[in-house]
Amino acid sequence: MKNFVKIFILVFAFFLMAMSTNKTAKGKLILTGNEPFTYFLFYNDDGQKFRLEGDREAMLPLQGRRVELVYSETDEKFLDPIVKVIEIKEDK
Amino acid sequence: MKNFILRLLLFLVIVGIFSGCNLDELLGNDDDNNSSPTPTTPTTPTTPTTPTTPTTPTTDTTIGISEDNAYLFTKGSCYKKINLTLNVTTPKSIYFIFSNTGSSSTVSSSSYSVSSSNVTFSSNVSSSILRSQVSKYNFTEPNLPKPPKLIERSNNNLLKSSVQASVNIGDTYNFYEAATERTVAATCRKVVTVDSKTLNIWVANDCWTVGGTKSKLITQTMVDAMAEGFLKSGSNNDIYDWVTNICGAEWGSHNYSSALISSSQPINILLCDVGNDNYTTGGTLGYFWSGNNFFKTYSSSVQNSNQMIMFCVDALIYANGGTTWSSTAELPKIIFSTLAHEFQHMIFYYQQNVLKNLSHDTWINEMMSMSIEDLVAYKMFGSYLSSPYYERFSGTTGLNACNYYSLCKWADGNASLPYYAMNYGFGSYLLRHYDGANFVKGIYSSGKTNINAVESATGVSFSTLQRNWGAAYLLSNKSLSSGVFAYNADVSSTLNGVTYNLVEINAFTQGTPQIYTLGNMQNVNTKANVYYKVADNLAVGTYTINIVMNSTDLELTVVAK
Repeated sequence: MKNFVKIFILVFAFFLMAMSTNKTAKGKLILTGNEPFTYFLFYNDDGQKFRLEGDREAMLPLQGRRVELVYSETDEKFLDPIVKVIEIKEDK
Repeated sequence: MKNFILRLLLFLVIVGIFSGCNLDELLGNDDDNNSSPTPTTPTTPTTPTTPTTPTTPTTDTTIGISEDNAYLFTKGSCYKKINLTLNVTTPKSIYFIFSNTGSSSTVSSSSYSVSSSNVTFSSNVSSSILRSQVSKYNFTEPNLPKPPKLIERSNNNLLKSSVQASVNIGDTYNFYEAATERTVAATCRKVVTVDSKTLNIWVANDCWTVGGTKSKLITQTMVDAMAEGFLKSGSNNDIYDWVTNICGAEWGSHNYSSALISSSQPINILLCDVGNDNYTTGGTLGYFWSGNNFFKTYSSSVQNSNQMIMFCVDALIYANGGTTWSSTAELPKIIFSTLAHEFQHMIFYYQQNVLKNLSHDTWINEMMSMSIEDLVAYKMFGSYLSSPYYERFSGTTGLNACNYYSLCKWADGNASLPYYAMNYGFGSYLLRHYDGANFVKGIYSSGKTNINAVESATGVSFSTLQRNWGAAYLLSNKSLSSGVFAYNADVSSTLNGVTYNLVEINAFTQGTPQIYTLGNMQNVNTKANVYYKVADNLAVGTYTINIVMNSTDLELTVVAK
C-alpha cells in the first residue's frame, strides 16, 4: 500500500510535468495596447488571441510578421490568456 | 533491490509516456482547443523551382513641369526601369520620394538607382538641421534607473472593493501608479457631476500646495481649471463632450462581469508626478492603464488595479504655468491636450477591446489619440498652439528629423518617439483629407485593426495614402488649397452637429525635413518614405532621368515645387 502511494505520487508528479510541456504554434505577432503599456499579442491560425510575456527585444523586430512560437501556458489572463514565450522566430 | 528495479522501470515508462506529448494529445483531445495556440503543422516539402530571369519592363514617361505638384508612378509587376522626361516650362526644384509600400522587408539602398545625362543632381540638400538640436521640450522618457518595485497593498480610508460608490472632496486613496509600480497617496480635490457623469480629480499628496515636496505644486485654482476644461455644464463645451461625440462612451455595460468593474463608473483623473522624476518640463505627460478597469481579484496581472476608470497626468508639468499660474500658459495647455489624448485611449479600450474584442496595432491606437488632440486643439485654445503639431514635427525625434521611419511599427521607451511623430504626421494628413472627426469615427467602426482600418475609413489603398502624404508633406510650404496634396489649408468637419476645425500644416515652419541627395542613397523601411532632392531650381528645358528599381515593393513619386 505504501509503495502504491509512492508510485501514485510519482505518476501524478509526472502528469503535472507533462501538462507544463512547452508547445509550439504558428500565427501572427502584433504589438498592441497604448504607451507605456504596449504588449505583444499572438493570433493563431484559428484566430485565437494570446498575450505574450517574454523577451521584448526579440519580439519587436517581428511585429506584424508571421511567427513560429514555442511557449508555455500560464494561469494568468488579461482578458486574453497569457502565455510565456520560450522561443520565437519568423515563420518564413 | 527488486522494488528498486521495479520503480526504476516504472519511472522510465512514465518518462517515455509523458515526454514530448501534452495532455490534450494523451487524451486524444486534439480539437476544440480553446485555451492554447494551434499546434504546428508539419512543413510540407517544397519542390525546387527553376529561377526565372526577371525582365526589366521599361516605362517611358514625360512629365510637364509648370506648377507645384506631385506625380505618382504606377507600381510595376516586377523589376522596373523608368525613363523619365521632364519638360520644364517653369523653373522648379525636383524631388523624388521612394516609398516602400511592402510590409515584409526593408528595400536596400543598392536596390534602386537614379542617373541622368543632362541633369546635374543636387548635392546641396538641407538635411534636417534639427537632428543636432534639442527638442523645445524634452518630452522623452528619461533613462533613469527604475525605482525599486514597491507594491503596497491598499490601506485606504475609503477603498473597500471600489472607491466609486461615492467620493467626496477630502477623501483619500492610495493609488497604484502603474508607470513606476509604486503607491501614490492622493486626496480628492474636486468632484463634478454633469448630466449623470461624474468626474473626480485626485492630487497626489506630495504634489499638493500644502505639504507637498515636489518641485512644482498643484493649487485648487489649477484643479478647478482642469475640471472646467474636462467636464462642465452645457453641451459641446468640454473635452468630455467633444471626444465622446466622436469616439463614444468611455465605459458602460460589458460581458466580462467577473473580470471588469461594473458599468456605471465615474471618471477619475490622478494628478501626480508621473514617472516619479520630479521633472517640470519633460518626461511622461500622462497615461491610461487598462489594468485599472479590472477587479484586482481577477488575475495576478491586475492585482494592483485601482478598480476605477481613470488616467494619470503629470502634476509638475501642469503646475509649471508661469510665475502667476495660467491655464493658457504653454505647459498647462500641453497637459490639457494630454487629457484628450489619454481619454481617447480610455474610450478606445472600452469600445474596441472590451465591446468588440479587437486588438489594434499600437500605431493605430496612438494615431487615434493624437488625431483627437488635433481635432480638439482649436476648440480648447482657439488656435493651433499646443496641438501635437509643434511637439511632433520638431526636435531630434520629431517628424522632420525622422521622416524615413516606418508608419506601421512601434518601439519601446525613447525609441517610440519617432513613431509618435510619424503617426501624428500621417494622421494629421488623413484628418485633413478624409473628413476629420468622421475619419476617426470610421476607424472606430471599421472592425479592422491595422492598415485595413485606415483603408476602410478612407476608401483608399494604404500605399496610395502613404505616397500622397509624402508628397503633401514636401509640398506643405506651398499654397495648394485643394487636391490630395494640400496640407496647408484650413479644413473643418462636422459630426452630430459639432464642428471640428483643423488648421493648416506647414512642416517647414518646424525646421527642415530630412531630405537626402542622390549621392547618398538610403535603405527604405517597410511602409516608409525616403525623400531625395534631385535638382535645384531646374531651368526651362527638357531633361531625361533614368530610374531603376529592383524591388517590387518600391514606388516612385516625383514632386516639383
